[in-house]
Amino acid sequence: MGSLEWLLNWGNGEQLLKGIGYTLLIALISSALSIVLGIGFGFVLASKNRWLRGFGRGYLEFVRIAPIVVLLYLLYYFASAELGWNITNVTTAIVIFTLWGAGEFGDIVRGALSSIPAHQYESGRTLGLSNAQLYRLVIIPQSVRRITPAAINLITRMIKTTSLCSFISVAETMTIGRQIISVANQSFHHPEAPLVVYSVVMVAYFLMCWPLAKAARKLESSWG
Amino acid sequence: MNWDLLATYTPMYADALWVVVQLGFWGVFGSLILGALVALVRHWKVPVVDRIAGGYIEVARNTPSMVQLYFLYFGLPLIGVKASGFACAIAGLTFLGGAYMAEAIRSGLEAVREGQYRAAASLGLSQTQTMRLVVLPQALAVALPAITANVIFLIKETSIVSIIAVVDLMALTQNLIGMFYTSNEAYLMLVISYLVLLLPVSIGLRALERRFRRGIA
Repeated sequence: MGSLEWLLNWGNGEQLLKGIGYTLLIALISSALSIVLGIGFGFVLASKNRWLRGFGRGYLEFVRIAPIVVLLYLLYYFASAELGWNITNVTTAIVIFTLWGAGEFGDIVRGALSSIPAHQYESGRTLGLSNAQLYRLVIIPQSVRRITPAAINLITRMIKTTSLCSFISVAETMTIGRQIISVANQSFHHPEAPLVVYSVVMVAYFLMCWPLAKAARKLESSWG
Repeated sequence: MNWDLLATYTPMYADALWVVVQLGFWGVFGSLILGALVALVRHWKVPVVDRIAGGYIEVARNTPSMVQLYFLYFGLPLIGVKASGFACAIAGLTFLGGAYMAEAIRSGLEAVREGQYRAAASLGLSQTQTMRLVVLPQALAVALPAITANVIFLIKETSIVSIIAVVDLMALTQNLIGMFYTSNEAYLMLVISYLVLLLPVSIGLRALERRFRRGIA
């Protein structure tokens, strides 16, 4: 039996598709939450209040450097063992990815806000715009242009990061791939199974991420 | 919390931490070398190799590092290369990091303006001298923030090598919990070990960046 044929039989292909669905679902929910919370966090990072800004920088530094796998384990364990919360592995993953993503996206928003020169605010006010009008008509449209490519890149990073939730056994692409391989290994008929399955998994991730990365680059150069 | 147990665990965590430090060091080292080579190939638009380098960057950046590690770990033996989990982990980190470093270094190289090359040539500098004395110092200063971000990213990525049978901090923690059910102690040691590793790295890189920024200002 050929490798690909075997991969598609026994419901393997179907399982893999389900796994990909899970990957996309977790990545999209986490990205959406990160973007919403990250916009708020961006204003914290750009705040004029020293303490608020200091807290923001500390938080950003923490989520940037703390390994996500460790955070996943800690939350998953402590929520159930110490706090008695009954949260699923999927919820755990989304919470941790969002805590990380919101930090990263906040920094992007801060960058966009500070890249708009001060004279734009001043000219807006000189023209008699109210604060709300100033943001709605002048600052936000320009910021959105600068932020959109980065937001798309965040989604691709999120898709790649979701592979880590196989550490806490979420049935996403990586986990399904590993399960297919371990079943194949039990039969000893498919020594090439790891390579075939990981090739398919790699291509699947590439097809999810690459078009997005390309679109982000295109927007970057056309909106620059 | 069993405090005696923490004392028993400490040397084990020290060993695992040393594994992570070595992985991080060689991973960053390999990434910088591979990244510099790829960046130069792309910068000079060397025919054919440039295309291959471009493809490599896309694959490395658009697939999870976990898959890349598995691929090396299971793929290399099939083409007759026998490598330990540790060696595979370094190869995997280099493969991943090389692409990110290449983009960082290339953006630095592109920031050096044409006039600088001509000025160097009119001063009679050779091509190697121009590179070494004029272009690289300026390119590095521009690329440094991206490079330090990549260093942190790579150190963070070392936390997944337990999947290819490297006994790092994560694997040790999983083992201790699996064998003795000492979750509290094992997780506490895990957090302490990572703090010991990451705090100095974070502070050190920040200081380096500040110095460089002052250097070019």
